[in-house]
Amino acid sequence: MEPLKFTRLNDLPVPADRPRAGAVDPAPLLGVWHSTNRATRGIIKLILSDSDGNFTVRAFGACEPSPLEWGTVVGAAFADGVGLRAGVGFRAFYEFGFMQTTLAAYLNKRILVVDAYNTFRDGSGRLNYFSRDHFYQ
Amino acid sequence: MNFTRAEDQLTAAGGQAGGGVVDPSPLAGTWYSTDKKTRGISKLILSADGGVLRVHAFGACEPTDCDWGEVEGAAFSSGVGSAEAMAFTAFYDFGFMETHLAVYLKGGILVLDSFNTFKDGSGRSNYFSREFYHS
Repeated sequence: MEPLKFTRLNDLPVPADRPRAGAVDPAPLLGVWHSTNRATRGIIKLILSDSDGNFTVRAFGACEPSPLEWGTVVGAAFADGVGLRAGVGFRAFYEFGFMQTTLAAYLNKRILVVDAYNTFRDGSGRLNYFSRDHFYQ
Repeated sequence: MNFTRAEDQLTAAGGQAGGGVVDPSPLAGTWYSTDKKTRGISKLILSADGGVLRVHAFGACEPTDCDWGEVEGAAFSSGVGSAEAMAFTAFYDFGFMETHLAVYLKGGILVLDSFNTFKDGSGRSNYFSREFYHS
């Protein structure tokens, strides 16, 4: 059997933490998540679902008079280690045409911390920016 | 002007459009893990080369660190009207796995999230990790 390739020690299973075949279970991430900041100018709500085995993300941007629905995209769920299955983080990507947003999120004591990396492509002069929102269920 | 949320819009407080280029130089330098026993990423060398962010990461390996090589990063500021970088993303494709780095600067500490996806059928779970760096 070929030795496992790795890029850092974390890539290697520890003896008590052997890899188990199977995808990361997104269950701990699923549900409706509301921003802890009712006055947020960023993302106001997320709906995370498991649709036929696909982890999906549906985001809503803060906007007046009502939130802007970004639609549903397939995301990727991540565990806390190579031998674990419970989802503790996710990534998702939105292509809006005039801009792109990558969401990089993780769970911290049942608060979902969502970082957004936003890139403009419309020549508007707006600068690519980072933002962070926190969510509860 | 198109937008997806209120913060995409320029406001009086948010400054004016600055030509669309974030200056990566505030991120430049050598960044060391605050955890000397890390099993993750031990060191990052960030450079601003002609306005382009370059990321050189080193994984914690024994007896010496694994050199991941240098890739181009994407720099981000704190808002649509600010040109000063305070975050970046970078992507490494190792063949058998991929790593997305999502990183931001807070109070002089670099906070790094890595999202790691295996492609080698080894049964290892895709995993997330978070680490902190000082310069």
